[in-house]
Amino acid sequence: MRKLAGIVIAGIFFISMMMLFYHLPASHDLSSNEYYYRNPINGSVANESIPEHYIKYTKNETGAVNAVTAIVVEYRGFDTLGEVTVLFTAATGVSFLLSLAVRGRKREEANLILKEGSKLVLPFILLTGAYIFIHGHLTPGGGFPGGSVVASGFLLMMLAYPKFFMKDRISWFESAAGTAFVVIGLLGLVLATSFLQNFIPVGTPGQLVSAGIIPLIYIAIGFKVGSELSAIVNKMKEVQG
Amino acid sequence: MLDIILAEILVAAIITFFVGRKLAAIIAMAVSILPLIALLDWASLYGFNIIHLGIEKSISIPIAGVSLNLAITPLGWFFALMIIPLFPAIMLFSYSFYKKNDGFYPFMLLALLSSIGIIMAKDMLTFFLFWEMMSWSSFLLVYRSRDKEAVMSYFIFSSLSAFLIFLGILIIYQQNASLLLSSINIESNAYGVVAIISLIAGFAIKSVLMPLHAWAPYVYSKSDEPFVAFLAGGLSKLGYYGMFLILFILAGAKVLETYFTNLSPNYILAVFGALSAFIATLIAFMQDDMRKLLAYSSIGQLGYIAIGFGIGTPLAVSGALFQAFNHAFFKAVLFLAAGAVAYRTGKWKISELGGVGYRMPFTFMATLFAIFTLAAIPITSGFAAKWLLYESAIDAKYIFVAPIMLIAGVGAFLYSFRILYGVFLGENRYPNIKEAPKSMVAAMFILVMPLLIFLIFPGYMLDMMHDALISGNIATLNHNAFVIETSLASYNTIAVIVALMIALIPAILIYKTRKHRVVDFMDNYLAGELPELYDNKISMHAASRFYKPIEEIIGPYFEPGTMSYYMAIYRGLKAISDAVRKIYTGKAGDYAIYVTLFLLIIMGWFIWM
Amino acid sequence: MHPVLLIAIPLLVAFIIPLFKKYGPSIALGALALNTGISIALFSVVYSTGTVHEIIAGFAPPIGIFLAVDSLSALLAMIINLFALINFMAIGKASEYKFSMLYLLAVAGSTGIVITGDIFNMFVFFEITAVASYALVASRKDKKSMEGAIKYMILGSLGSIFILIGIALIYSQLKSLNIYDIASRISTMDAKIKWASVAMLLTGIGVEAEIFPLNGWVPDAYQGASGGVASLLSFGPSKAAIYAIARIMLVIFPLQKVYYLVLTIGVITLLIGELAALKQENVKRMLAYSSIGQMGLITIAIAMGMNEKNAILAIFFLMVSHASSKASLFLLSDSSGMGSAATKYTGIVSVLGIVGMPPFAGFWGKWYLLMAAINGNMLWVIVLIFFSGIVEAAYFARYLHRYYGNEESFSRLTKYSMAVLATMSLIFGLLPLIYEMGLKTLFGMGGV
Repeated sequence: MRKLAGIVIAGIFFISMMMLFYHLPASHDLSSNEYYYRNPINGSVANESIPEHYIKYTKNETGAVNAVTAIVVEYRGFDTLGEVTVLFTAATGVSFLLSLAVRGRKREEANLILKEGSKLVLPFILLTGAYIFIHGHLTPGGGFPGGSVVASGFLLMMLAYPKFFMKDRISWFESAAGTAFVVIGLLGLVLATSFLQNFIPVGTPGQLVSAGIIPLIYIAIGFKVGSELSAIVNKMKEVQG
Repeated sequence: MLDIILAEILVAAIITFFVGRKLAAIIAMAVSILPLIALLDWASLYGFNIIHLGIEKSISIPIAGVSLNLAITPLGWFFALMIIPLFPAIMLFSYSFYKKNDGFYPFMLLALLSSIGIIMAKDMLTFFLFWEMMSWSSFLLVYRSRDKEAVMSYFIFSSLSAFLIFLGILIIYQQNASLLLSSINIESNAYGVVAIISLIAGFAIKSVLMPLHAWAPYVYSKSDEPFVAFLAGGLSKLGYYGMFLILFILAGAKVLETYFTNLSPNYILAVFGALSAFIATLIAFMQDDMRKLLAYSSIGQLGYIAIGFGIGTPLAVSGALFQAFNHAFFKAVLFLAAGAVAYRTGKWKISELGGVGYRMPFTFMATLFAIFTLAAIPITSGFAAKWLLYESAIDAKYIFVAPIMLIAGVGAFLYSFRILYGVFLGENRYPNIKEAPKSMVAAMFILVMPLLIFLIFPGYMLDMMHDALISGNIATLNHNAFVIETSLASYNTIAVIVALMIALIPAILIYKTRKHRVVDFMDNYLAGELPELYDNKISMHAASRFYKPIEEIIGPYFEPGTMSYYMAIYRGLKAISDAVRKIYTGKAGDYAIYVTLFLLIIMGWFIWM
Repeated sequence: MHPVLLIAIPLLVAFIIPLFKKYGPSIALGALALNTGISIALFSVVYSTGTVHEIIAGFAPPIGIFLAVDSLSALLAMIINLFALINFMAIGKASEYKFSMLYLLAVAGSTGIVITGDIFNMFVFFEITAVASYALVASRKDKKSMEGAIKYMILGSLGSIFILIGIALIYSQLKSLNIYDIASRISTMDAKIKWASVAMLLTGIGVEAEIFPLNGWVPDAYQGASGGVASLLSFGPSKAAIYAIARIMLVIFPLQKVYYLVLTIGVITLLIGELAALKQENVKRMLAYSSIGQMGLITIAIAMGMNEKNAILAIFFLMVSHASSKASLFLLSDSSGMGSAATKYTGIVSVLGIVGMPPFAGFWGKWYLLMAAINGNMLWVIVLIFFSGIVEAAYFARYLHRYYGNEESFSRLTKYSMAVLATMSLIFGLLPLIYEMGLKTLFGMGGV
């Protein structure tokens, strides 16, 4: 009975969501004046919409060629700090709660191909990951995918070597990367005028060393995400034995 | 000066929290001197030139962004006269009553502080704020009893009272857009009537009018006597202060009369008062616990005040205020006496006591006088007050109320006789106890003094309430110090005393001329009774089930008790609570369904409504 | 004044703590103390000069993110940080360093919800708060607490999804995430999508704000959590969430339909919570149900705040009152008694505060709320509030009777901390601070 009710309600919910999304307009004219934003502090109305602003001025304002990166790290960098923190919180929570769990059965050894192969591949995986987050302001990608790639390298190692554990080093990386993010933000507050504001010359857009603090933050995020995900996997493995 | 008074009480309340019991009692007594002086000083405003210091009359206290306005009014002053003087006497009593200081003094001081706030409030916010403070400080005093029924019923009934009063205040505020008492004008419509009725019901809870009295027997019989003396003597009057305020000063009585054209709601108040007086008296017959007996006696005696307010004529209201004043003092004395007896004997049950008066003569004397006043024995001020009330009921042709009052008046003597005989006289069961400590005796005698003064000069009482009555648009009676003129006859102290003397002389002569023989208690009691019960001294006791025949007749009618009806409501609520709790099934899946369903419903409601 | 420090400092410290495991709790305590200082300074700035804005990353608001601290958020930021400090002292240093990290993150998240002026940013802080709270609830690591945490997590994630969809719907129409920018242009939104987004946001935030029927997790989570965590939940995340409802409903959607809906939900939540608490034997569960009731009361105040200045004042007072009294009662609920003077004091003062006796803050809350109700001519709401008040009095009288004087086993610091927490309600009920803050207009608010 309860299951039936659940199914019916889920069905109604699904249909109503579909109707709702169907109702959404298919395309937008971003330059139409209904999207013109209004500054809440002084009440002035601009003659552009916010997406339009991002498209037009990203390069000048942040020096990043990749507009998505500029939005993630600069315009909405505060949200990104928050997201990184969510990840961190989740990792901390998992390790906190799993710390008392009982160890399970032993796992059998991996075979030779996996062991040797993973050794061989690991440097390349790490390099790719690093590349993705270092070049975040130039090419698609950035800290989050880069970090995930790095973590996948360590996951491979864990699969290959049951005794492969990363004890304190990983939490050191976690802390250092997170701290770096906040410190960069605070430096912005000290050296420029606001938190997370760019305080380094933006340089020439398109160059590796450009876009001010974006690459620095992305490197920090890369390390952070990489170590965080590895730590979660590590912890789970520790529990499973 | 008013602010200094309030501040010193507050500071004393904080200090007494930390010091030992004796010092606390002395501090509490000391701080109540200043209000007493102020009372005497203010007396000059109302025709009594005793001292004149020029103490100013109004202040405002800033708190949480608003200011509380307090001012001394004629009515406030009159009620202050019956609340403030009780306090130092009770503190004096408590000096040797308590073994340790565990929260009695600070909360008593807070109760005093809030009582002063209530009777001097200039606006409804101040009134309500102090009312609530009085409720919780007295609750904490009840709480010291650790008795489940007392604690719970007092807290719940206090909240009920507060909410009823709050409802009334809100409606009045809506009608006037003002909370100042001086600018309030209750409209004569359904809302106005609801406001008045809910205010009166709220006040009736505090002044234990039946059927809202259910908490009182528990609280009065389980809490410490010094506190109960203040609760029954002083705090219960605050409810009548509120009623006077609403009915007369804010002209609620007129509003009710104009709204209900062919039925007089005032009459209903008088009937409730009369029933209170009558039923409580009958129940008091059957009590074996001294404190419970006094509790029901309080309910009965306070009912008279409601009768007076209900009748609403000058005669009736004067009588009611007189009765309020008397009750404050005699009931305080009686509870203190119960405390003193219990202090020496450790017993409250009348059937376990007896002969205490031989060893505690001064306590007995104070009690005797208080009981005379309670039972309205002629020439006491209690008689004067009840005389006015009886006369007003007859005068107003309240044919239901007047006889009931008379029966209840006789009943009052019958049950108070049990205290006299069962506790203080009869078999001398406690030959080794001592008289109560001097401080206790002194306290009781101090409280008896006002009753003596108004025994001789009942007219002064009318002088004191003169301005209060005027402020409530009630005419005052013609009077001088000894004589009160009424429409039917006049009450003349001298005449009453002379009449009493004439009646007493033959009685004394008869008493003196007969020979007396002191017999053993068992001697006269056993005549013709069941000898096998001889060993059971309780059942042999003259005061045990003293009114057995009456009890057997009326007892069954009071079997369930008012509380059981309230308990039925409480159980009903608990059943609802049980049903509501079933909503929380404890299954995450159900909760997820709730969330989704809620979203769908409000989305649908928004979009299609 | 930089309100962003209120978030940056705890985050920084939470990141650093793993490096200094041994000193974790002490460092966290220091950070909370620093934060409390900053929040008090922020409060005084807002008190004297009005709303404080802080631009993040140097871009003017709707382009970038900004923090908007108006009188209510300044008060709540101060309450959350100050109470978090006292509560942390009460929990004691015995806690693990990871507990301290999660605690800091929950505090930072709640503060973030309160001070941000950007709706997506609010969502991010919701996530931080929620994830940290799940872990904290489970921190006793027994079966009960795991059960509570899992229920909390299931409903919390469901709620998060709805919030996110709601934000996405708004963004699809207005291309903006700034609460005040959205508010100024809300009338240009397509009606159906607007209502859908209100419903989504209300449902999503309502899960955290403990309103009926979204609060299934509440009894289990509070029962499972340790006293200190339950206390944190009652003044931190739940207050932040109810504040988020206030900010979103009062600023973006001060509409008649929303008003009726929120009012009805508030009344139902109040009644259900109080009635469910009446027969509850487990203290923490009883307090949890009572919290639901109080949340209902605050929700009623929020609804009325759309037309009534008095109700805005009531929101201020009710939040402070509930935060202080409930936090200390939850701390007290760890041991089944009030044995010493400090715990007796805590119990009595908290109960008096929560049932709204003067001069505690709760009295003013009820006073102003009912003044608003009578101005709006809503006698039925008043009568229901009174009814629930009597039910509340009944179970708190029973609570006091049952636990007073029993043995207890609190450390001295814990006892004094909870006594201080309970006293906060008295302090705020006597000082004119809240009143004067409440009279200031809330930033960007429609309605009044």
